[in-house]
Parts: sequence; structure tokens; C-alpha cells
Amino acid sequence: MGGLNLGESTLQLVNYLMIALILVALPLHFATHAFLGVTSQEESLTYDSVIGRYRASATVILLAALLTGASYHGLYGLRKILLEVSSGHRWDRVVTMGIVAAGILMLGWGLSTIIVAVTGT
Amino acid sequence: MSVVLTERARILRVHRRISNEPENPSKIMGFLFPITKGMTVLDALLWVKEHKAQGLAFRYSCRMGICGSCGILINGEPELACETQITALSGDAIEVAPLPNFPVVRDLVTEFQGFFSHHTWVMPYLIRRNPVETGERELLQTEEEKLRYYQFTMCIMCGLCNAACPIVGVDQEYLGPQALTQAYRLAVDSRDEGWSRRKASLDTVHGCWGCTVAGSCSAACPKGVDPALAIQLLKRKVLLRFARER
Repeated sequence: MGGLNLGESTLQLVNYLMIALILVALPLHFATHAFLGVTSQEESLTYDSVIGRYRASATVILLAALLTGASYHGLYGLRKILLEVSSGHRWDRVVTMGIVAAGILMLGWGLSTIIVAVTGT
Repeated sequence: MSVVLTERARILRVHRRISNEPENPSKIMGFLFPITKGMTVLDALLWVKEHKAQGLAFRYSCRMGICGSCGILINGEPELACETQITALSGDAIEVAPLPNFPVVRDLVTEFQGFFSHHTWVMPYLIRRNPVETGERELLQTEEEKLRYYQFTMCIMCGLCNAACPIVGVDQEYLGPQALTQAYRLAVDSRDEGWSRRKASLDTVHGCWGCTVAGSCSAACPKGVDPALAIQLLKRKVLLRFARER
């Protein structure tokens, strides 16, 4: 993987783990909007309800896990598509580094949003 | 001039091209040919070459599905011309074209240099840590050990699997189903000790991880080899080795 010298199997293995993570986290995420601690989906979307859930550490871990899993899985798939568009080591390196940068930005932005909501600052 | 078709005659529509250059696009030429008992598409091509178009270029050798030279696109499907019976094809016209995913040399003849270089890339031969011993004694294996790779030795390198593969069409660096199948064939051969040398070229996005499991390679193979299965087993082997080595 670019200059990081990771085998593709390492990335693929992480991808499989992220898929498993999404399969667990996504139903739980939907459940918190449907029947876990709420009377209705509309009620779960009110500001107080959302902020209230963000103050619960289990929800924060769930959202962070979902963000990480979905970002990795999506960007890994995008990388594979882009690598098929053109060829050459230079293209591979540019795509991989671009995807890593996009991942860092997405996770940084998403996690900072969660942290802001949790701390209320 | 109108052409009268009978039960004993059909039209062979041949995609002809002088070279792979963009200024020489392919043109389709139709040839009426008589059907004889047991006639194959290769026989029809030979008849056309003998009676209608002496300059028609196509590759063939054994005429019995062993050499893998006569792979072409027949009515949109990659097939061996020598194994495809005319009577098994529907319609008045039979369309033949060069294999996709291969550069055209002329008419139905395609360039296999890239295909062979990918095959060479996976080191398709037995590798031993001590090469001297292979000349000194037999490397015995059980029937069970042989059956792990046996079907994959049936490959005749006709290139039909690579022609059918959608990834080969878009990714020039992708090793392709033929080379990856041979890599797997050797990876599970009890006599081979070359995994560590081959693994680096297989464990890449242009190696076994490039496969998206379209499965068209297995459908195209005229010898019943299942390259899609081999590649998925190769992925598993790479991952299991991963777990063991780290």
C-alpha cells in the first residue's frame, strides 16, 4: 500500500473486520431510533433526544465504530474502483495516498463532531 | 446481390482488421459457406480461407481442443473454434471476432505476449528449496494430494478466461484468471516450496484481490477448469498464511 508497505491481504482483512463491525453496529444504531429508550422515531430525532444519546458512552462508542467501519469500507471499495481506472505504480500510489488522506479527513471531522456533541463545547 | 440460404448453407460474418491501430478499425465481412456433417467453426473458417478470402488470418493447430490456439469470439461468446459445431449455433449468420481483452494482430489473430508474461510472473513451475534433489529422487505424493490441484492442470492456456474476465478488460496489470489459477495450482501442490517467492506478486490489488468474482472465466473455460474457484481459494490461502505468519 503505497509507501506503507502493507500487503493487500492486511487491508482486505481489516475490510472484513469492518464489514462485521458494520453488521453489528448498524442494526443497533437503527434500534436506538426505533425502540431502545424512545417512544417513536420522530421523538428520537428531537434535539434533546439526540444530545441525550450523545451523552451516553455506549452510543458514542457505537457511532464512532459505525463511522470508522463505514468510512474504511467505503473508501477501500472506492480505492479498488479507482485502481482499475488506470494503471501504473504512480497511479496506485496517488490513489492510495489520496484515499488515506480522505479517510483521515472524514474520521477527523466525524470524530470531532462526536466529541463536540459529547463535551458540549 | 441477394444470397439464398438453404439448410445446407450459412453466413460467416468475420470481424476483419489489418492491425490494432485506431486508424484501422475492424470491418465485418460476410461469407456464404456450405455446411457439412460435423463441421466446426474452424472448418468454416478454413473453407472461407480456401475458397473466398485467402488473406483471412486466424490461429489454429491441433483441431481437437488440446492446443488452445483457436480461441475466438463466436456469436459474442469466447469459444474454441475447433470445438464449436456449426449446427449447435442458432441463426442464419455466425459472427466471429477476435478475443476481447487482447490486442489484435490481424483479423482473428490476437497478441498473447501480455498473457504469457503474466503467466511467467507467477513462476508456473515447481520450486524447491534444494533444486538439486529434484534430479536425484522422485517427489512422491498421495492421490489426495494430487486431487487438490488436478483440475487446474487441465488449463491449455487458450486465453478464453482472460477474454471473458471484466477486470482484465479494465486493469492491464491484473494477473488474470489463467495466471492466478496456475499460482493456486502450485500453491496447493505438496511438492512445491515456492509460496514465499510467489506470495508478493499474488497479495496485491492486481493479484488475487483484483478478482470481483464475476465468474465469467469459469463459464468460458472449454476444459472445465474453474478459475473463479481457484482465485477464491487463493485468497483464502493468502489470508490463512497471513494469520499464521503474523
